[in-house]
Amino acid sequence: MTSINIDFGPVIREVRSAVSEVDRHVSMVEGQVGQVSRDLSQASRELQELKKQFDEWVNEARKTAAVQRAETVVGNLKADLDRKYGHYRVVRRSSIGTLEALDVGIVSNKSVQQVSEELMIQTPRYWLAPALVAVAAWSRDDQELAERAVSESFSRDRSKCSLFFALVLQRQGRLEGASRWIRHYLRSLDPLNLPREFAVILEALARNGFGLHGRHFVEEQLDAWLTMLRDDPAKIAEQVTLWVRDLQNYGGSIGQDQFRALRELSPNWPAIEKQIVDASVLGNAHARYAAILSTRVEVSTDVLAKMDDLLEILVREYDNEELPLRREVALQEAIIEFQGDIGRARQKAALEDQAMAENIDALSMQTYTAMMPEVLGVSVQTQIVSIGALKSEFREAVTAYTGFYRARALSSAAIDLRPDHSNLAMQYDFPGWRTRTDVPQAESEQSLTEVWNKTMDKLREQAAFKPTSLILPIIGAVLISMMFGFHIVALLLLGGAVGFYGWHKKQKAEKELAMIEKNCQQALEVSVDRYRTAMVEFADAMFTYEDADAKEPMLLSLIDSWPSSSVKEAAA
Amino acid sequence: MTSIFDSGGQGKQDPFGPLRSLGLRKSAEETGLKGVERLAAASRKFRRPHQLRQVIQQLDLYVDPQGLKDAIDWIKQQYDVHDIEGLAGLFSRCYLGHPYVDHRMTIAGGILEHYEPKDLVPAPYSAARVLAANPSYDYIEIYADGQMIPIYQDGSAGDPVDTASGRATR
Repeated sequence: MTSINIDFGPVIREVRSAVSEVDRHVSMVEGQVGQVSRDLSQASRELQELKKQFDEWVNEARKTAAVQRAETVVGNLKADLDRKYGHYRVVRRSSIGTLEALDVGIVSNKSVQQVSEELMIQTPRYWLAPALVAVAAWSRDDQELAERAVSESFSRDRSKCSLFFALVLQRQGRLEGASRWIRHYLRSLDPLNLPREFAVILEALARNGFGLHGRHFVEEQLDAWLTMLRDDPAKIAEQVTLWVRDLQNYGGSIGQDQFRALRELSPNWPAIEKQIVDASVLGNAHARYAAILSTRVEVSTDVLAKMDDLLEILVREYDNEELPLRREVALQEAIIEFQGDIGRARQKAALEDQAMAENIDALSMQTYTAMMPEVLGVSVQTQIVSIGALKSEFREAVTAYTGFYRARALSSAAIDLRPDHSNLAMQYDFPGWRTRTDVPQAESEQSLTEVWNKTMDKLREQAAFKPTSLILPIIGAVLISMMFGFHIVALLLLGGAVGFYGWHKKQKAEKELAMIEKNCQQALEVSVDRYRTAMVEFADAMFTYEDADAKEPMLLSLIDSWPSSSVKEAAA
Repeated sequence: MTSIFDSGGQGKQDPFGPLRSLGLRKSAEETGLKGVERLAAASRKFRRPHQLRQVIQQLDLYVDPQGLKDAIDWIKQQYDVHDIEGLAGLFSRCYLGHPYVDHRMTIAGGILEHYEPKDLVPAPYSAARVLAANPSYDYIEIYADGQMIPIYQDGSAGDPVDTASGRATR
């Protein structure tokens, strides 16, 4: 029998090279798929980043737009004020001008009369015009006209007219007449519904504008009112509430670029931020009120100048017709002040709005002059006196305010590494992990490592070499060798091919496992790094909070040492 | 005098409504305080004397139950002198050291109980925990009517905080 020698060498070589060719292609494709998936997750990450930046930008742009709009609106409103009530201004200027002209005696009675009568015609319904006619008539001893003009002015605005003549008489040194007007004025008032111009009385007291006798009388009356109002705890509670609302205006803000990791990783960030902002009020309020206290006030000793100032405030500030427009101006100015933060601007404007009410009780009026003198048109001097009179309410407001946020303060926070907290986490389907800042760091890192290991275990399992994957090739080899009648050479060759295939598979699996190990390590490092950054930032945030919170004694001692006015405090 | 009050005070609408709803501050009418109770609330504002604060701070040092009981009785007397009613107990930081962070002292029963951070503090004392942790306060007084009054280092009383509005740390 002739033995047939079949040379399988070329065939096997061909098969081998085909296998390795296929293998090369497969791993190339695999590599590309991996690359694509990495690119994808990279792209989605970048998209998220872009979205975040875009949102920040939109927010910023919205605020800028709000500020710009507010600036335009303020301009328009002021022009409106000017258009509607500009003619009042002429009368206001003329009133003090007239008094000064009469002082020096260089203007003839005739022209004073002419000017005042012209203004009377040009500004119907305005109380100051007839008052000016009265002054002019008085100066030329026309008693009948003076009396008629006074009664006309009085009927137009009783309270402002009384105050005006009290100040004018004081200015001219007619003390008795001035006291009569003042008495008349004060007796006509209801301490629960004081007109806005009563602030002038506070201003005059602060500047010692009434002379000895007048001052005594006014202080007595004011003391009686305040004591009466303070008898009602609800009224005091109201003042404390006003102070708390004033305090809320001094909250600072945290820049978008601060506490980036904590902002992203802690679900408690809004509470932490609020806590820090709330506490920042203490330092800011201290700075503001300390600055007020150290304001150098120029005290004019000249009675004429003093009374002119008071008259100017009286005629300038308190015309109720202007209030709606002024309220609008206040809101827009607050928007500019808070750089477009409309929520906070509204909060502040709401408080000012209340201070612009047409009627205010005596205690609240003092509170408003202490918090926002500009709204009631009084000076820093009056503000200092008013704060002194309201020390106990101010102090209580500070302790109420701090107690309120301290009772809600967080001392620990959650840290949440979401499935998308890093590129690798997204790529490897990290399930997410949560811990708290008060869990010891080693413990947290241990549990984070475990979660990552578990995540990678699945991948390891997929990548690991499995002997079962050789079953098909073995069956194939057996079938092929059956075709050759289990020829020994064929058996050997096929066995070798299967063996080579198996070895190759195993090699590849090991390489992949090594890569997984490497990535796992890297992913874990990234996650731990994020966690640690958040921990450091949390400690930093707590430090910032405690630092700000510790400024309370400073603010309290400023209030305690605030000079008390002669307007006595009720026994606290 | 009262007639002016009545006529003026009632017709006006309440401009502080929004703030009250925050729980920041309640008017006397809203909390349902009557004259006598208002006085009680006002009397809680007195400055806590140095000696009282010292005894409270040193409560940790009592090892025998009788000594502790006497100390608590003495504390109660000090409050009685100022006509303070309804004081249920005190809550403050604990100076025993690790693992304890804070403790409560109850008037009724005269007990002192120390807590570790992980311990659950019974209500209403639990609400005082955050406040007590703040170094500005010496200790927190807990009243039966649900008020907490934080006492500053200098003995002055802070504004009352509602136990209902405070919340546990976790």
